[in-house]
Amino acid sequence: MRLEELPTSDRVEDRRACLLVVPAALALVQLWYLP
Amino acid sequence: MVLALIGWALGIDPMTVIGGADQMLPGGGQIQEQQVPTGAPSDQMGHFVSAVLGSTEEVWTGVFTQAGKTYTPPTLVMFSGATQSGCGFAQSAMGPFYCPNDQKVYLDTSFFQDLEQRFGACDVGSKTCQFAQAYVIAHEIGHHVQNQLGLLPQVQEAQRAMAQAESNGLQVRVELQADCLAGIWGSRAQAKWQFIEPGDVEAAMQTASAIGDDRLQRQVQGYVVPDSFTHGTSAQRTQWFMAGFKSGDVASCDTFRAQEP
Repeated sequence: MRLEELPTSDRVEDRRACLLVVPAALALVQLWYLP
Repeated sequence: MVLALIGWALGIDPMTVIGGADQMLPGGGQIQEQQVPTGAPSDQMGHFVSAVLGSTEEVWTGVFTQAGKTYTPPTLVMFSGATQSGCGFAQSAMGPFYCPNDQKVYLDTSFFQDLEQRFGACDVGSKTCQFAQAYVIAHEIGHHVQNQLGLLPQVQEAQRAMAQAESNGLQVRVELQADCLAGIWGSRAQAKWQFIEPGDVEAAMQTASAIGDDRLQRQVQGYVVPDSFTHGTSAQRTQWFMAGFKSGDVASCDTFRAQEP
């Protein structure tokens, strides 16, 4: 399909970046408990 | 991620989310909406989603206007892993869904990778997969159209008085109608923008077939239980998408009057 033909919408709510915090926090916790 | 596809195709999306919203919210409370600015994301996936959504807005605004009605477009939330929704906590495992409480479509785009890689819904990495992905979004927008027309609340009301098997049967008709409405989007968008390329429609058909209840149940448990179907068989899903795509007419999507949808 040719995307360039289609109009875009401004009604997209992008929450993807917010969730990067979760794995980052988990990684920090793991690091904390490493001997 | 297999669960995401199965969950989406076997009934978690969207009506189970609709029906199960209270159970998903401890105490029945309404989750506060996250204040996230909307716009058109600049990355490739964000642009793709924005373009598909934009085309649905124009198509459905036109259809509603022709019928003397007003179409209020939904918001589409792209998320990774998990997020809050008006229907409870949304996770990737639920697959894409429409929440009528906040009138938003929720989409974890990792679902698209599963669609290609694990279920062979379209040829991995091919350009035709984009149209198959657009079909998935258009299906969810179809649920918003149903909601705007007042159909979803009526179905929910009717389902309250039904046994599970009968309720599932009604759910199948809701889902097949959303497939048909996705076909109407494809048809009308093509008439307006000529954006479809050779192989695109076949890829969407392949996708509709890959997520039929019968095919997924066979893959997961080795046998099918028709009474538990909530989205329709592979044959039904492709048939109703094509009904909408060929006609471009909402009247062709009356899955509730069809003897056998």
